[in-house]
Amino acid sequence: MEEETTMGVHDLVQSSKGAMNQKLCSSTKRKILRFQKRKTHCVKDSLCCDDEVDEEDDKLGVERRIVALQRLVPGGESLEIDQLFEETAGYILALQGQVDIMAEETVVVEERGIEIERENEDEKIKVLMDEIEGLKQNETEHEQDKKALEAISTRASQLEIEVSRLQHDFISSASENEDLGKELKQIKVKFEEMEIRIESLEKEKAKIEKEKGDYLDKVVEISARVDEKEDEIARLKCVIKEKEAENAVLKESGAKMAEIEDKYNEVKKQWEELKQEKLVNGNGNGFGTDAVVENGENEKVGFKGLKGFKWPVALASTGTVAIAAVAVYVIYARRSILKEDESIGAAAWKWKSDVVACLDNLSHRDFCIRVNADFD
Amino acid sequence: MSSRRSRSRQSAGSSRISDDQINDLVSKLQQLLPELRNRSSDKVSSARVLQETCNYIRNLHREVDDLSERLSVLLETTETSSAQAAIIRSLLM
Repeated sequence: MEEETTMGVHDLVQSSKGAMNQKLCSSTKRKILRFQKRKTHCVKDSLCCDDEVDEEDDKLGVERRIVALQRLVPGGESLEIDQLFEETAGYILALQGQVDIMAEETVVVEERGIEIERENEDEKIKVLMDEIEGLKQNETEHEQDKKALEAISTRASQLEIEVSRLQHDFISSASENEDLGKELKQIKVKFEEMEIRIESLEKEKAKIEKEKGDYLDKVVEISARVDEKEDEIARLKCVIKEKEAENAVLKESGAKMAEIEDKYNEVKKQWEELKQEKLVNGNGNGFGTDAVVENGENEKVGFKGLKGFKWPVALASTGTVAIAAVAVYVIYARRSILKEDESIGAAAWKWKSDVVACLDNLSHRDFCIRVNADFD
Repeated sequence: MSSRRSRSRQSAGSSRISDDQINDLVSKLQQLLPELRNRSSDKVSSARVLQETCNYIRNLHREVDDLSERLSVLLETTETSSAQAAIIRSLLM
């Protein structure tokens, strides 16, 4: 549509730049708007600058311009000049109309757009207000949550303190436990030691008790023996008493015997005398010393028997008569022994043995021992 | 129609139509032009008028292009009623 002609260079440059581009030189835009709105003014600048070109030769310029016009107007190249000009006028009017309509439509559309924008904005505002409401509610909820969380956090801090305290207590009680455990171990060890000691002590005690038992048995034994001994002692004491009594008696009898001994010695002397007489008289049996010895022995024996015999009472009363009798007996006894008259001797010996038996009560053995001691 | 063209040129040079006629037509044209409307025909030469006419037509072309572009852009972005949009689009095409 826009053809490049030599006319209106400035104008052409401007238009060719912005034909399809809305970013036309804003001056041209504004001018176009002024065109349609006021319909009073034309693009002064673009038109006025052509004044210089108008200085050309009129006819030629006119012809040239007519050619340009023909090119611009659709179908103008086939028209005569008068028709061309009419066509041009019509074309211009048509274009003006189109421009007016389009301008109005643009306004309408723009206003509609603005309306829609406003509607959208109102909707957006509504949506945002709802969001705000929602957020406010959320905020209140959050406030509540926050309060709850605060309460929870304070409670948590309290619990933390408690927990730390409990931990502390736990640690201290654990250490106490340890100490108690150690003590317990020590006590156990001591206990075991004690047990061992007790065992050994019990063994010792058993031993000792056994020993005690033995000792008790021994004691019983010994006490039995002691009893026995005591009995024996008692008995012996009695015996001793008896003996002492006997002793006393024997002392008496001893004294008596001493008397008798003396008297016997006298008698013996007499006997010796008698015996020498007899010997001298020829009764020498050849016994000599042997007989003397025998006699001495027999005398001893006989004296023994005599001494064994209980004389005290008889002697006490009879005195020398008794002694004489004894002497006679002695002589007789001796004689019977010396002589072949064995029956007499035996009888005398029997009498003597009877006497001995009677003297048993005075423990003649002792007496005999005494006598033997005297005569040894 | 090159022959007509050459003939029209020739006729333009030999002027089958009289100069007065031409002048008359030119003055009529002048009335159409917004800038030159208020000026007397004596002052303004035919060449000038024709020049202005060409310029004016070119300007109008440009305006139309601009407006059509603007409208197409606006129609793309705005949600107009389908009837209105159809009318406008038909005008643009």
